[in-house]
Amino acid sequence: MSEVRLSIPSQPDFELGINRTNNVAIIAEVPETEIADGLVFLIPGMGGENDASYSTMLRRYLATKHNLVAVSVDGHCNNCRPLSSQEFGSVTLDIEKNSIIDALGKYVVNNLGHPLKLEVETHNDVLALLQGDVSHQYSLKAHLTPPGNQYQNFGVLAALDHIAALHHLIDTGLAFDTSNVLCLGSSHGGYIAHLMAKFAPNTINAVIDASAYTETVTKFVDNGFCEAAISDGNLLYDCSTTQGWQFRLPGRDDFFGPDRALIRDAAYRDHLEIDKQMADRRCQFRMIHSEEDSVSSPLLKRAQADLLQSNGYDAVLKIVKPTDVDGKFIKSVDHGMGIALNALFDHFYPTIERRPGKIDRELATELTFPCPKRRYVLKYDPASIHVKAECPLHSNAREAEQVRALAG
Amino acid sequence: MTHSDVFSRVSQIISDELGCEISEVHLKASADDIDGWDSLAHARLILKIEDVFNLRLPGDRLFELDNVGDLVALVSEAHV
Repeated sequence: MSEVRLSIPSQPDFELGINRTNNVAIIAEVPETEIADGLVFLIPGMGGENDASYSTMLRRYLATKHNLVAVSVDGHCNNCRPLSSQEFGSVTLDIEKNSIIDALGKYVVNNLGHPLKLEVETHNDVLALLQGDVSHQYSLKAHLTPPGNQYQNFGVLAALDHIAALHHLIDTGLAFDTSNVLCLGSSHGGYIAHLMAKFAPNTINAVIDASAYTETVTKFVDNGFCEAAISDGNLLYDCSTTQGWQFRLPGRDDFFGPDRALIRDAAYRDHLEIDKQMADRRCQFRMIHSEEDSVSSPLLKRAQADLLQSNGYDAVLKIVKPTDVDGKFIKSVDHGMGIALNALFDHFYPTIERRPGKIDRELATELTFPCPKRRYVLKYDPASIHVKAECPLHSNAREAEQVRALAG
Repeated sequence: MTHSDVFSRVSQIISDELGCEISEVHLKASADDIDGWDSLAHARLILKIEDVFNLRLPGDRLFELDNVGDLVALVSEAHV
């Protein structure tokens, strides 16, 4: 067994017209056998499974136990939480200046009646002052910026990065069954896995997810400062990933309107219909979700499973109830259910059927996903690792945009 | 290296990595018995043990260890 580390150029953010500066890093654990049975992407959510030690062990486990090439990809905004050990660079935490001023006001109020001696020149001076007042807790708002000044794209670029990584691994000559490509993820990682299946309907043989949402969690793309709470002594940081989208100005490309939401909807009927028509062999889905999940709606998850099943997909959804908590496989009914990714894979992989077939790059697949104002077009080119992606406005919408621009 | 030597060194690593008393670490102790022994800590622990003993544990058994005794046995097997 050996570890392979590679990197590929990143493709531009085609929705926002932003060229990305950092490469996409890939780490693959390759089993010792002559030909691996397939390849599995380990796609971390926003939590601890992004930890470098854990990822390393998980890759080794899956490669050895299941004879699969086990791959981690530093896809776009893959890493947006501070962790003690990170494989792909560190996240920076930037405190909102206004929240420092608010906290200073609270400090003054908290210390009324006591002689106040404020000798502060910088924001860091204020933070030191707050940290010294250990009898009170102060809340601050902070942005988490992934390495390379990335921002929260919410899934599309991350999914395309993984697909490009697959093509690159194939091109390097790794010996594995390319018709058995699997995506394993929990929460946001599972969501990206579903987007990969949407964007590569002939490539992904199976998605295995726990607690994956079916569509964009909008509170994660509007600076809600509710994604993560990080404490540092008596300071509590309410965090939000640095944003690429905004919700207030509809005329701009970075407005997160219906088009942006629908392309990110892994259970949108009209788009699933397109995938169904384009797929020679349909992706298999194995999903597990808590009926008490407060982050990812169980109702939407059930609707996703129903939609997949009614369209002829081999889709299984296990809804977890409090009585299913066994302390080993399922540890709680909270989001994620405390299910370890190795256990999740062991649980569902034996139910996945290996079926021969060509992948989208071999088929030169071209997908068009219509949305209200624009269409998303994905074109596979056998000569390129990248999927060519664009999202032109419909002609009537383009005219409307031009009129809007002329009107100022 | 004897089984007892392996246990002694593994216990010390567990104590250092998880910040627990070495007296808490006995052969029957499982992750449930020692505070902070979650899946992330387990991963760090395994990699630390591999580093200290200069060995590579079999990948397919990394998550299938029920207690300290299983871990010591695995290290002893790999250390031969």
